[in-house]
Amino acid sequence: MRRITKTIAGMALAAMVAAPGVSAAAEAVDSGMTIYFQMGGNPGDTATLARELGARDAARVLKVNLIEQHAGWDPQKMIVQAKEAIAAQPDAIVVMGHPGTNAMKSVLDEAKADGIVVVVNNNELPGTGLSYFGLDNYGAGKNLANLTIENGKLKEGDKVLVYGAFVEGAAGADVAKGATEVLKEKGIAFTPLQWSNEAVQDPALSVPVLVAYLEANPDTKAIIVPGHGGITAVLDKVLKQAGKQPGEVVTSGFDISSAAIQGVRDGYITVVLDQQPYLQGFMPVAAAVLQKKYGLAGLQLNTGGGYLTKDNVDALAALVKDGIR
Amino acid sequence: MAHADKAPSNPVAGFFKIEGTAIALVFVLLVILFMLTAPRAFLGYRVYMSFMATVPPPMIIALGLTLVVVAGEMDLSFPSVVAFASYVFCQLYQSYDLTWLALVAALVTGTVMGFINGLVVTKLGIPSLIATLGMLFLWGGLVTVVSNGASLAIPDIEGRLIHTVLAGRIGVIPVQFLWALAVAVVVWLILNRHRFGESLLFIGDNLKVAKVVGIAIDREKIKLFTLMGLLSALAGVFLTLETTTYFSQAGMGYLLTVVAAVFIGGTSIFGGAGKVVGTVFGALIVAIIEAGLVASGVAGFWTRFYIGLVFIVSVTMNAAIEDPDKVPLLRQLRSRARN
Repeated sequence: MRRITKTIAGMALAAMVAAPGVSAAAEAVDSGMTIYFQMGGNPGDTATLARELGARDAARVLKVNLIEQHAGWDPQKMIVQAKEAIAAQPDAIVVMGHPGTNAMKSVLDEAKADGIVVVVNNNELPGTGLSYFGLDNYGAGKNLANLTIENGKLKEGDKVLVYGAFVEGAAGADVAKGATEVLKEKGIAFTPLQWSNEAVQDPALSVPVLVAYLEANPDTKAIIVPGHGGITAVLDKVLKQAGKQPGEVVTSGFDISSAAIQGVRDGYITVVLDQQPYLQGFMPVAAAVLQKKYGLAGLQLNTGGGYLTKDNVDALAALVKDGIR
Repeated sequence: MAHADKAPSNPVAGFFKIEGTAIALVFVLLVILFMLTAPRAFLGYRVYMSFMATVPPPMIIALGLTLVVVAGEMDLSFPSVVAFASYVFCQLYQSYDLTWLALVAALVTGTVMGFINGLVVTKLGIPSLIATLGMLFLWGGLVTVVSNGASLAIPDIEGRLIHTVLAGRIGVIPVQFLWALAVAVVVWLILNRHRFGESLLFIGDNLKVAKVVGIAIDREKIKLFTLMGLLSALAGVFLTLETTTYFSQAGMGYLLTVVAAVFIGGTSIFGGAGKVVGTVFGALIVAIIEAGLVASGVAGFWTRFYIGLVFIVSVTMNAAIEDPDKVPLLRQLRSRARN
């Protein structure tokens, strides 16, 4: 009993000594800010969930009123949502960079005039000097292609299908550009195939398209999906329905999911790039608070660079189940 | 009414008056075209097996939507019902190892959602296009909340009895395609041989007349939306069994393709007439176009352009084969030729 009393007394003394510090910390933590946050895709999809969880965790810690916006990766909608967010006069907005710097200029000017902090997420807005948390998408595309070549032992003269976005400004366009440039440099022939809007929303619809492509082009050595977790997750279905054995066609893509893990375990998916979207959720909220309260701006963090192969699949599986990876 | 066409004068025209023959011919012509442009893919069997594995969910939804359109209504909420049923099925399988009970629960969920859709349309008096658009967001939002936005993967369901029965393979043929055809037969019988179908045709053709002949409009509409919910849920289970995954956007990619399948199949946008066989081939055409074009070497930005072109040509051919006078341009040309 005496020991417990001593412990409580000690804690009380420590609290009194630390009181000024605690008070300052409480002020920093209890931000009382409202932040509009563009999550990019659709609620809960494989490329969005971890970002949502990260943002919510940061908002809880920093006591931020977090307003989530989902654009289904539509750059036009992202601009509209940024304008809607500014109209609500929050303390900060976190925007996706997919529309491009020119398209976002008026939005950024308006936010600056209103004293609203802007943080960029997932896709950079070059030349703005704003805090950015995400991949170097172009570099990620190059990384994905290099990993595919390395793990799939691709060589000059091999034929590759790149199934992605080739329209400037679309989600994944920079990734596709980076990937195809590496293939060009290495002398590997590739076919760029634009994914449909329907397949982006419901990846199962991409299966017969890719099966038909493999049937028509049986000498295809690899399929690279630069930037879509859902389509990456159905690559094993594609190979199975095309009658291919695990590893017969090298496949690679983006964003770790439960299905992608199974595909890697079964040997149908070779490499999956991980952009750690949880960080893309958590860090922008923290950066917005730091900038609003202390003027700390211009922060940059490359959240990616990791990847999933059969060598590390078990270690990452548990985190994926919780939506963190 | 749709079935009151007068007897055609020549046997070829008579043949194409049989439901679905014209759109079936369009489908066959499309397959022949792709066999010529992409022989490696379309002279083999795998690509067809792939279609048979992926077409059933949108086809089953399109069959339900055909009945809805026949009654002069629209249901845009089906993607969210698909997602909800998929979630219920996955969750019950993953958490409690339920299979058949999970199927029943998913179907009940969709049925209840459809019933509520029917109540919103009939009891709140909101036009179904708007009401179901609202319900698309409402149900979609709810399933995201309930699932906490997470995806669920159930890869180990492959090999279980329910997977073998509903989405296994007989030889190389995906079983789900046979189930979808069975659903088509049932929906055809409902529309053409059952009082409920007759009521829907009356309602879609002329609401006032339907009331005069004593059809309980609200009751029939609630039954209609309930059936649509059930079929959407069934599609959700088939989708889940094929992909062994639930994610909150499941079904969203079907929104336009399903609507396209119904109208390509020849069902009247004005209600009062519907072609179930046409919808079956409409769903197949929608599924085959992109894959066929890609296999034919149409890549890059041209794919979508050609998809649109093939859509327009398919619909026009369907109408022209059935009755050339249905196409104004052909009617004018024929008229000039006669003069």
